[in-house]
Amino acid sequence: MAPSVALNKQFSKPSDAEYQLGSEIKNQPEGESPLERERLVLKFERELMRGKARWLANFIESFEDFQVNDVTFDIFIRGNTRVKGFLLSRFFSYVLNPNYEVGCYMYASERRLNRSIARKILVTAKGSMEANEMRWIWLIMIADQIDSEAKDYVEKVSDQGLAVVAVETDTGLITNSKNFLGRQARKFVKV
Amino acid sequence: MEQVVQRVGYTSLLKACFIAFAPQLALLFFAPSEFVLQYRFLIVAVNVVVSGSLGWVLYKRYFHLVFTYDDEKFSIRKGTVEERSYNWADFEKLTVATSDYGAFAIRLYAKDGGKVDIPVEKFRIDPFHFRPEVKRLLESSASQASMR
Repeated sequence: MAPSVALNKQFSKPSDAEYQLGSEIKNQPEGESPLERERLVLKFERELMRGKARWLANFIESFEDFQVNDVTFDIFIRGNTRVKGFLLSRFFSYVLNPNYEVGCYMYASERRLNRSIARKILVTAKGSMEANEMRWIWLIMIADQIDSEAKDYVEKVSDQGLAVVAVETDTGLITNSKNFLGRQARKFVKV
Repeated sequence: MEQVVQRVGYTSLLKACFIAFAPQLALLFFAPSEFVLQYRFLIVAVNVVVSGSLGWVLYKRYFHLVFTYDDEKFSIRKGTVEERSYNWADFEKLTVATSDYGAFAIRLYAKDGGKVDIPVEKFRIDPFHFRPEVKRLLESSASQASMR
């Protein structure tokens, strides 16, 4: 039984304090940003998979290091709009809700995010969305620094099937596309 | 080194206890009411003890899950009647997935297209903490297989 006990300690569920990432980022000393980026990605992934966005979609499977052409997304989560429930809610969801495939792409980089990189990631994610016949997607980009041109570009995304959120970890600023999905995604992304 | 993970599944245990309890309850419907009224406390005590002990035996035999793994292979045993064993080298990709009822699992995709779920939630293992370990096992077994 000894190995079992050791394993539990190693992989047991994290405490609530581990979710308190916002305050940690503000107090983080310089040079430890990569760790925080990874932790932010893990936080968003964990929250989505645990159903934080269940009012919008049911995210069911998370792929790490998801490769699309020459872009590697840190996380891709696929889901659908048929929200699962128990008995009555499950029945009504099955009868009333359309079952669209949806997804969430997360990209984190230590490089400064400029307009051309943002555009490339966006086009790649959009291509993957169309190839997989998804109805809409969220794209979350996390970087230490984001150019103002890239922020403008994100804000001007008007595609109704695409929500883009850019998180600048150095300042904690979050920029989102101004379409409906983008505003919904912004509510979910909290640093 | 072989790692063994096992947890008591309380829902399954409750189910097993109910399976043991149901026939006793059915028997009471056929017993004379005077007898039942006279010995009601004794009957309840006997029911609880028998349901608990028989339920535990049923649970261990049919429902108890044990997850065993080392650097080469892993197995998931259900009770004493069902055991599935796999080699890490047979899989190439892993994801974190949820079931219809929101239970987490580590999903392994085999090279031949099949997939296997490790129900980590039932072992009370955090899937996001366990994922790097499984990834390491997949990579090390793949590199060993390529060296042979």
